[in-house]
Amino acid sequence: MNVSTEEAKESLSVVQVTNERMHRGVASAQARYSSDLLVLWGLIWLAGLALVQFHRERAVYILAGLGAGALVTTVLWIWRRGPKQAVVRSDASRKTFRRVFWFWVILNPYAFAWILLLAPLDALQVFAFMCTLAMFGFSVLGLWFNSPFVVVLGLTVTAAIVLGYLLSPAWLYLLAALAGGGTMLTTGIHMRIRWR
Amino acid sequence: MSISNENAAESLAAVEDTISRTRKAIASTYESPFLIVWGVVWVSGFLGTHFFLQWVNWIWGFLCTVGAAATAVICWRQFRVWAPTKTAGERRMGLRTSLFWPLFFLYAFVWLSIMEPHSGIQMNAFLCTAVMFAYVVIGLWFDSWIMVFLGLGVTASTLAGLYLIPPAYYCLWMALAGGGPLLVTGLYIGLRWK
Amino acid sequence: MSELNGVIHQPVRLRIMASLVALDKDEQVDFTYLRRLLKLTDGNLGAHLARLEAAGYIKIEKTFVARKPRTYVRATGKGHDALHGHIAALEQILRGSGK
Repeated sequence: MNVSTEEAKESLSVVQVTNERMHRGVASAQARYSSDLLVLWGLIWLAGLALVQFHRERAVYILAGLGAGALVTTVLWIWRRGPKQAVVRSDASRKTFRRVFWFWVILNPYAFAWILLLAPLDALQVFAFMCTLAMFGFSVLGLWFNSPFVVVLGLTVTAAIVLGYLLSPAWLYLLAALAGGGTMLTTGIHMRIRWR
Repeated sequence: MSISNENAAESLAAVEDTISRTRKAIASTYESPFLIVWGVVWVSGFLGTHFFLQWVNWIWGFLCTVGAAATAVICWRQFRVWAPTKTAGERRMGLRTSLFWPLFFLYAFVWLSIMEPHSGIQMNAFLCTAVMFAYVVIGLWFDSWIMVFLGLGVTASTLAGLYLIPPAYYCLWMALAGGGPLLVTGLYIGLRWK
Repeated sequence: MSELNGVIHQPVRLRIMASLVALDKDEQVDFTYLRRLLKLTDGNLGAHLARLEAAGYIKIEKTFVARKPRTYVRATGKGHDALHGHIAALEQILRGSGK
């Protein structure tokens, strides 16, 4: 088989370009489907908690609706865009998805047990605790997936919520709406832009 | 090259066996010493608290300092053996893992500050279950089911101790059903999974 | 000394293999995604994949996801080796020419 140096050079450049395009394409597809979920959660959190701030008397119903909304959204997302629909699949990514899923599942009974265990607590304490717990989950996943951006964002929102709880409890719901919901939206958008 | 179904099944079984042995060897090297140290801390701390309640702060202060120092020594020794053979990426992964514990304790402190426990027993049960939750997270992160089940099991026994055992026997219960499983698991995987 | 690989040297197959080896060894890529990435038609991609599969360089898996048929493709170990051998041979040609 005879190949000229020009042809060899061209072939090598084709290999490099295709290889890079595949890497970028896969990272972008994976980031896109995670960011969809973050943007959705961000919007639900932002709108829901802002509503609680101005309709405190209906807080329980709004928060229950929020929880149900987040759950339905997640289930729909897993069903429509979960790992089975991914453009690239592997045993390793399926396992990782399963472990992250169980991490969020297990967080809930622990949260419930701690609220019962430390009772009596008032609504604001439970609310601040739940928000910081969600941010803990966020920060751990940042460490897990090597994203300092997510870790720093999780810690910053936690600090904002704790400060709000201590200094301005009357506006905590709005603050959490902006800080928590805003964080998820920002992260979702950041991921989409970074991996466009 | 063609191989029969039987040969293929044998090869697969051999691969599975190797993976399982490797996993156990890693658990024996990396998890066992920590479990033994903290198992001893829990057992002695709770027994000490049961019999010498008036010295509770001193007992836990001393034991936690010793436990933290032993953990640091184990980490350092493991790092010296492990780090030179690893790539930069794997070393960064090790660093991220070690950042998990400060992050976790920071959050535990935040939660305690927000929820302000009303009694010592509440605070103790919260801290024990929180640490066990961290075990579960680490277990999920590193695919170590022994850590996941240990974390969930000790959480269940802590809650059982809080709600089902008379408060006077809570510490005795926690020494047996909390520290005991940590110590026994650490010893078991250290001795049997080498 | 590495030799050029006649099956892989064909430009479309070279791009297919280059994209598949960009994945981890146990990762599979969706056929439709690969077709879009390489800007090929169904028939063209299918024909080249069949040639690569016959050579043992890739593995094609047909499955159903949400009751719709999906095809996944991955490079085999032999495929990884073949592409790396081919790349080494191309590099040798360049080195031989002093470029």
